[in-house]
Amino acid sequence: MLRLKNIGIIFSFVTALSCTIVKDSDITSISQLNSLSLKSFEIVQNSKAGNSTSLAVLKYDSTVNKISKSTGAHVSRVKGFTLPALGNYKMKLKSGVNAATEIKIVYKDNGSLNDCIIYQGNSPVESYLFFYNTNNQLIKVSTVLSPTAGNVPTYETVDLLTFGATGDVYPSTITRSSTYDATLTGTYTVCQNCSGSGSSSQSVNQLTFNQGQSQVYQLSFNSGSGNCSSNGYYPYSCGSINKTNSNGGGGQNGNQNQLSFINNFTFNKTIQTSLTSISNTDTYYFHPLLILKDVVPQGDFYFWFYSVDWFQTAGSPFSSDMVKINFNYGK
Amino acid sequence: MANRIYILFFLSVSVSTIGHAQFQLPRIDVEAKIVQTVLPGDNYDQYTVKAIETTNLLLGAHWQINQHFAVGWVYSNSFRGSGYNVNDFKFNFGSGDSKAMTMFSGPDLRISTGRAKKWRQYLSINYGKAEVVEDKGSFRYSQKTNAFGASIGVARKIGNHLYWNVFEVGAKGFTDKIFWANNGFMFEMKMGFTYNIGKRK
Repeated sequence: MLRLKNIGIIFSFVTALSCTIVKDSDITSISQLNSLSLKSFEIVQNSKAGNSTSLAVLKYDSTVNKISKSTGAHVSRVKGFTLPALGNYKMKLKSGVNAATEIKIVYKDNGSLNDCIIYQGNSPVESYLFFYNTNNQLIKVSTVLSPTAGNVPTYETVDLLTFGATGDVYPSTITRSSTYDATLTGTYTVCQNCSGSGSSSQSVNQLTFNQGQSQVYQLSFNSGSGNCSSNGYYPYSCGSINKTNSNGGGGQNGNQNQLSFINNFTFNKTIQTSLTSISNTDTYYFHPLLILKDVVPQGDFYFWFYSVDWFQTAGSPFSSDMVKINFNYGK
Repeated sequence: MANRIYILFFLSVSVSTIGHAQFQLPRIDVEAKIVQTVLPGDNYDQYTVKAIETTNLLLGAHWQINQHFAVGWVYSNSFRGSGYNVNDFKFNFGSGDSKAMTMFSGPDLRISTGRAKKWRQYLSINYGKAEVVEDKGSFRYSQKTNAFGASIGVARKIGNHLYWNVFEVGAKGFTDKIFWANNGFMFEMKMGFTYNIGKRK
């Protein structure tokens, strides 16, 4: 009898010994993580105007072997996501389309983003092309809205990125030209360590947009309140951006940042991106880099630049609205 | 699975305790402790988790060779835990941005001071299987490894058979680094109770 009870205790511990909290589906190495690909993403909008969740699911993922007609680069993979209508809340398509769309993403051989076209039915409504130099630095971004053949674009810009010296991580200038709207043309001067604090020497903390000799507005990274607690090693995993005009204005918000963002990421995969605006009258426009910054070199910097570029604020501090993008990966 | 093990364990202990009056099991004690673990990550690498902290239930049993030495087995599993990726870990427990779990199972050697009226100090040394999991939402990171651990603590006698493990601190070193934390050790703080089933030791 005594032995039986002792055996009971021993049996308990043998059972405990064999217990595991690890599942077969768990990621146990970086190579396993790299083999995962984006299967869906959802855009969650929590705004004063209303709440919504739009789930974009993978429609196709194909291997191709061709030269891209739009960029001239060799491309090897194409993915398509179906995106439901975003509604009339916080995040919208810049083209103004409020209907179900399909996002076609084309990748170069090295995995970098080549182009992203958003279709409504069979008609392309937004086109984004990405060009790189031989060092795989992004040197040109072309954006056309409503680019259907025969239709006049409603928006068209070409951004030329120039680097100060070989080996520079970030561009020194971004020159924007537009045959559509002369007010869009100008030069962004990218400034490292021009303002703020806590940024490393490899980080950008200010961009000024000049038309001719006149400064139109200024983007300051992490200059006001609401900065994140990023340690600075990876400068753009989170942050806040203050957009002011040349007269030092920026609405009624004083020195508060109008747009804050947090990227929860691991290795080369973003898990969640959160965007918070200071005003419920602000609008986010969907830009491909919101979901594809992981496949563009220095994508986190371009993410905040183009996110802000696509961000329209009244600058008035009403209640904050938030948009979250959740990324789901699978084998 | 873990719940079943706990139930099985307590059933076994209960049966043993019921039989205590008749059979006087010799020199065995069982323990239940709450363990707070902190696994520091790598705050200077761009991708790794900054920290993982979990709260575990530890169950153990020891055979007391004499009043100074006891050998047994300990099993510890999480009932809560957080991973810190975006948020910095500044002992703000529970404020992480992912879920995390740790598990440890292995033999344990306890060296303690002799019987005293109130307080006994002890050193616990163990080696066994350790597992760390972080749930990122759309996928989970996990790693199995072996771990060598040691802790020191003090227990207060609060009955003929019962000790209160007032405070115990320790650390475990993993034989393999946790690949997404770029680190291979964790700290532990424990508190709980130890019950002597058999003769006093």
